Amino acid sequence: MTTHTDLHPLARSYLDRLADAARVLPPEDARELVADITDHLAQALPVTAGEAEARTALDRLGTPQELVTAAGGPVPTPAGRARTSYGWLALAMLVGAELLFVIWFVAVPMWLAGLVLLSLSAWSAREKLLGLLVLGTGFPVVLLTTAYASFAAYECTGGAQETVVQADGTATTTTLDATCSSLGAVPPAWLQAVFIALALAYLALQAWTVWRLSRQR
Amino acid sequence: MTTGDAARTQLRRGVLEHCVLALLQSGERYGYDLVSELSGAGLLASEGTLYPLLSRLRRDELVESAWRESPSGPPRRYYALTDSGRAALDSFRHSWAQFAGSVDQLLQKGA
Repeated sequence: MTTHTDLHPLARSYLDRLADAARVLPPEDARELVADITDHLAQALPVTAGEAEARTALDRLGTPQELVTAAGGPVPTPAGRARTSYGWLALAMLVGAELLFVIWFVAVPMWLAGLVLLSLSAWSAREKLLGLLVLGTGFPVVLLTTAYASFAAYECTGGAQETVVQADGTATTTTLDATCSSLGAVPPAWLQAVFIALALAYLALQAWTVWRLSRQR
Repeated sequence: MTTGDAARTQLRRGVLEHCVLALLQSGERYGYDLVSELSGAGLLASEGTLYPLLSRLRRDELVESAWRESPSGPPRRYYALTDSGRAALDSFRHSWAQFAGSVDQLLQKGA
């Protein structure tokens, strides 16, 4: 039999969704359907195929839901078909909450709605997990990063005073240079560069995830 | 879906199973090969739906299957007719001739 890794990336993603949809079938039937379609895709769709060719091959195959219905699964209801549109709304809500994070009374309900819609969407369990880990974390990460940055800046603003009592009883007070508490310590340049690189990588990962999830049928 | 499309879908559904048996009468074939031929003949709307049909034919003991090495690439599941499958095909061939004759007659009468 063909292993998953010998397949075109779009074929692998299709098989994930098929395995997910086939959970309504008896386990033996589900395994057989996925095995047959895996072998079909290994022959119909070369790993090196272009995207258009891959999409044509998958269109001819039929949707995972159609195959599961043909294998004796329940006929999809209008409610089931509506689940596809939940995915789009989930992406919009999660990204919207991240962009509008300062307006917390708008962002918090958007974020919560995005998480609920994500769980109700027609994506596979793996895609939902990807959405949760990469996009679901967006709003809290941006909120916490901003809160931390503001706090650190505030802690750094004050200078400290030091009073030294001399042996003769006179006291001299000197103002030390502005120091920061450990929380507010200005990180070295290399650490700042690491933070910026991590933030950019995180944003790039988010953009890739939106692109990937929005392209699934 | 137009009326013509709907009629084609119903007709396909009615004959597909026996078309698969007919393709196997000259010898065993593997799944993708069957899909390609049926799809080329316009008998398959969604290629993937043939595999559940093949599973059902196997459960009904009209076909049998075995994984076998292929000349090129990974092993493939080959399908072959059983004796019951051959009998079912013969019976269908007889019914189809009668059925097609009756429908043709009605269509010509109305024309």
